Amino acid sequence: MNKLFFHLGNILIVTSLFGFAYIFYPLLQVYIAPPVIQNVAAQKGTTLTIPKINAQAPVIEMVDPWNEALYDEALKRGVAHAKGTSLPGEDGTTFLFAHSSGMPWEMTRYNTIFLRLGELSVGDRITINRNGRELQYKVTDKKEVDPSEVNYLLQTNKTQLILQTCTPIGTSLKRLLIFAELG
Amino acid sequence: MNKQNKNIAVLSFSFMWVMSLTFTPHALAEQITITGNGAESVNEVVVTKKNESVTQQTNNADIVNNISNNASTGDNTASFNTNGNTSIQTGDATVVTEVTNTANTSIVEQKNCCDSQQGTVTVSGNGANSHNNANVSSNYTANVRVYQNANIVNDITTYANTGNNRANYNNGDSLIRTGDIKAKTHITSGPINLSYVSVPLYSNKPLSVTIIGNGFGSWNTVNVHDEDDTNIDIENVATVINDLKEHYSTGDNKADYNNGDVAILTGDIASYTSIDNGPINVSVVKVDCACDKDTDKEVPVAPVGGTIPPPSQASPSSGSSVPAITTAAEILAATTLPITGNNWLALALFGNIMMLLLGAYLRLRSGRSPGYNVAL
Repeated sequence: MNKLFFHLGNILIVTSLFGFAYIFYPLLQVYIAPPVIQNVAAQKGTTLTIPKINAQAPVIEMVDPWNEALYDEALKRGVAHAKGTSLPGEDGTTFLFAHSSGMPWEMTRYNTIFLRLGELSVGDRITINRNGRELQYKVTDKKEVDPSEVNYLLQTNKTQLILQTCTPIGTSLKRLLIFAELG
Repeated sequence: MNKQNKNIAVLSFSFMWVMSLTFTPHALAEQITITGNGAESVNEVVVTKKNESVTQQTNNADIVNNISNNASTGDNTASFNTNGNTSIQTGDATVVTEVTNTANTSIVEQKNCCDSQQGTVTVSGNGANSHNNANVSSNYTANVRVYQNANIVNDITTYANTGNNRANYNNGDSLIRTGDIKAKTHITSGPINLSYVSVPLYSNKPLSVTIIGNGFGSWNTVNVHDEDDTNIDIENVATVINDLKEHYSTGDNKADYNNGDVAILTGDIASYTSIDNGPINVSVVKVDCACDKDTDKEVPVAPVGGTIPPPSQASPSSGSSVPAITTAAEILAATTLPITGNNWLALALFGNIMMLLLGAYLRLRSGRSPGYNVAL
């Protein structure tokens, strides 16, 4: 019996260590080997760049923020722009959202694009390139809100940029909002 | 000949939004003082304050979209020809119909629940054996009523034809080749009847009570009674009727009584239809104890106008439709900010920790140390 406990204990310890590596490697990769920021000024389409956290991803425009099946598909390809809010460069609120973490077996290049969004502070720069036009934003505020506070998606009269992801990392308990304005 | 008929211009807006910003009076911010009365005097102050606020928003939207979209390259006749061969070749027909309906958004947000001014009650400097009594009561009732009613009817008829051609009584070979038909119909009804109500609990009522410096044997009492009621009544009623009639034909061609060979080649029909209903009748109510200290925060304003949905991918099948939001998970997703994380990561981490601890425990049970000190 002791021999059985010994081997079973070994198996569980080794399996748990592999499990830790499997879970944390994609997240550690964001810190250890962050992607290189490319120069996208001349590219077509819309790209979001946050230099402080080495985040750069295409923006998928006009994604329905009320339909999880639809925006889940978009989030595999980049950052989603909420349909019903303004496009970057237009008057009104631009609402962008992306994953901070995902299932390890679903890890794509963009599944953890907003993992380090919480490191942003007032004054940090955010750049959006849209069809050759560069828009520079500066962070003005940061908030943690309840998921039910959908008024931030309906608040569109003020010209600003809102970035949203889930927090704490690895959960969907709350939403982290970063507010930024042109300038 | 190709004929293309698009009807994207029918965007039916019956969008009404009413925003209510209510500055609610606080229950108590007065100063009550019983002071300097003589010995054995009887003094009483009774303050009763009652406030009631009623915020009511009513939105009604009636939208009827009657759309008829036609595209035809058929209905051709080439008959009674005697010299040479006869050929009818019709062009392709494309019909695209897109309709978006949005209606009724209500936002009620009550602010200024915190009164920065502190109410005070002071009983001081009254003579010996005096009786001093202050009774302060306040009652505040907040009533919020939102009624939204939307009736939407989409009556859409689309017709495309490349057939119904006649090549009869010809000498020589007869050929009828009809074009393809591509049809797309996309109807979106939503958001409809969205309601957001945010009211505070009026629990912050700072009140300072001071009883000081009164004479020997004086009897001093201060009674404070606060009562607050919050009543929220939201009624959303939406009726959406989608009546689609689609008729597409590349056939019904005839080539009779001809001398020579006859060939009739009919084109393909590709039709894609989708109907999205939702979100409809979504209400978010927030009642909390926290007062918003930022009185300069802008009140959220609902967007004006709807949007044309992004082009859907054409499907070779006809009559397919995207299911509307129906499951509990989808309704929950429709009432929350987008879900951009999941709890599996935290659960997986917890599971691994338990596995590690269990493995270490079994190693200890086996009588062989795992090679490190573990306090269990």
